[in-house]
Order: sequence, then structure tokens, then C-alpha cells
Amino acid sequence: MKLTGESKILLSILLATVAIIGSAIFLFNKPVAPTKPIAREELVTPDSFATGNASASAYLVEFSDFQCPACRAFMPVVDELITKYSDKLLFVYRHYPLSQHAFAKPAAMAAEAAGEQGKFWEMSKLLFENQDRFSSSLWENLADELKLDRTKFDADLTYADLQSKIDRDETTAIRLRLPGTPSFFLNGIQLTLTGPDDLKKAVEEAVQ
Amino acid sequence: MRNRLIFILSLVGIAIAIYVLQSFLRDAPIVCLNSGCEIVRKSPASKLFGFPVPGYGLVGYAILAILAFLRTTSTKLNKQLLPWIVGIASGGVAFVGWFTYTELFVIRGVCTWCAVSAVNMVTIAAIAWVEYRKIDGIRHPRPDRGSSS
Repeated sequence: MKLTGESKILLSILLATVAIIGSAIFLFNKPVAPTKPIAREELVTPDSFATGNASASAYLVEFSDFQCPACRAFMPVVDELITKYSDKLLFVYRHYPLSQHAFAKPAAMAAEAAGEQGKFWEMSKLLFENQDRFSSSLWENLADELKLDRTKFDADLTYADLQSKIDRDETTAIRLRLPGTPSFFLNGIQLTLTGPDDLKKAVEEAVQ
Repeated sequence: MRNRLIFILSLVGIAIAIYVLQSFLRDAPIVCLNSGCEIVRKSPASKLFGFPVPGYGLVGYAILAILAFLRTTSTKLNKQLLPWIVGIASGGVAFVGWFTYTELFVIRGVCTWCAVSAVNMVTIAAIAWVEYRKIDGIRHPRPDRGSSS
């Protein structure tokens, strides 16, 4: 095969590209320091909804979005862990409503509004179960299903303090550079999971 | 010049495909403008016949780069390989079109790198078509209706 002038130019472009990308990989691929645990106070905020044993040494924090299908997929395992290790584990729910989910923030507000009447976990469960039916009128139906005080619930849906709480959680998630939802922290360490079974395994190891 | 551009854009496509594919294979997070890349990466819909979609992009872009290079080696190959580039790039456009639809309506998340790659493939196809029409026009010139014999 005879190389023409143009062939040589293309080969030069190829070599230059390989050199640039190779240098970039070499420069930016410095050894990563072991992940430091995030301080418990930053993850376990006093006003966040938590269940389990508050004095347990193991704590699991989930950043979740009610409109996220993956979060719904993790829900049965999370429920199982909460029930099974209620005395050995503290579970904390933090909001991370993703911008591409139009109903994520209203759903989070609905959960918080239900939480004002002591039904956060019940509303969370209903929200995940009804994820495919999300609409602006759904929250009221779910509130009725939980027999909530509708006047208070409707008022709380726009309560600024609850909105600030969700915004604060979202800011924390962004600051922690979370790649998406669900994101889990076990004893302050962010978990890299390929599925719900990985979560189960990690928590079971931590509580033993 | 147009072939050189096709070659460069194919290299850009290869670089993007390698970056995204390694994150699929290593299960590592993707640096992205939004959270869409992670949503797409974790979705089963981003695999075709059990293999990650960026793998197909890598193969397509690699073939385009090789063909664009081979065109420069002889006048004969320059003409013979252009229809192949047009065909593969057009197939690439159909592929990115299908995947963009999947992202929007099945996965419900848009990966920035996939969007850049889609634009890249459309650009390559457009350049290839312009080149093909130009060469085809030279081979089969339109009869000049106004001239007398």
C-alpha cells in the first residue's frame, strides 16, 4: 500500500490524537486517595426522616427520588433491611429530586407534608407504588388513602420550610457529586452498587 | 478536505465511544453535564443483544475512520469506498436515531456524550452525502439543456 500525501496527513492526525488522549489519561489518572467517610452529621441531619435504632453503630443513608424507577426497584430490599435490622441499623431518607423528573419535587413535598402528620414512610411507600400514575392531582388521593387531615396536608404541600428542607438535601447531593439516584452511604462511605443484592450484602456485613 | 473531516470526526466518535464503553464495562461513573449518563448507563435498555450500545458506536466509528484513511491511498479506492462510507454513516444515523428515541421515551434520561455522538454521526453522514453527490455529479454530469449540438 502506497501512502499518498493525504494518507500521511491522516496518519499524523491519528498519531497526534493518540498522543493527546494518552497524555490526558496519564496526567488526569493520578492514583485516587481512598474514599474518606462523609461526616455523620452531614448525612444524618436531625430533621430528616429516619427509622431503626438511632444509637446503632451502623447507619445507612439513601438519597432518593420518588420518580426514579431504580429507587423503586431498591425499595423492597431497603424495607427488608429496615425490618430485619431494626435494632442494629439506622436508616435515613434524604431527598435528591432529579431535574429531569417533573414530579420528583412535588412528590417529595407530598411525602414531607404527610410526614408532618406522622405518615412519611406510609406516603413514601404509596408514592413508589404509584410512580407510574404521577400527576398533580395524585397527592390528594394518596392523602385521602392515608386518612390525612386534608386541610393541613394541602397547606403543607406549599410550606416553605419543607421546600427548604428538600432544597438543602438536593444541595448536599450535588455537593457530594452524587452520580444519580439511588445513592447510598453506609457508615459514611458511598456504596458502589450494581443492584439491590449488593446493598443487602453490604449492610449485612456491616451489622454483623 | 471533506474526507479529512470525516476521518477527524470518526476519531472524535472513537474517543467518546471508548470513554463511555469503559465506564459501562468497569461500572464506573461517567463525567457528565447532567445525571442522564448514569441513568442511561444503569438502564437495561442501553444494551443491545447483551452488549453496551457504545460498543456498537466504537465499531461503526472505527470502520468509518479506516475507510476514510484507505480512500487516501489510491484514486481507485477513493471512488470505490465512498458509497460504503455513505452507507455506514447513514446506518449510524438510523442507529443514533433509534437510541435517542430509546433515551427519551424508554429510559427517560439523556446522556450528554450520546447526544454529542449522535450529532457527530449526523455530521459525518451529511459530509459523506455532500461528497458523494459531488463525485456522482462529476461522473454523471447533467446535460446542458440550453446548449445546441
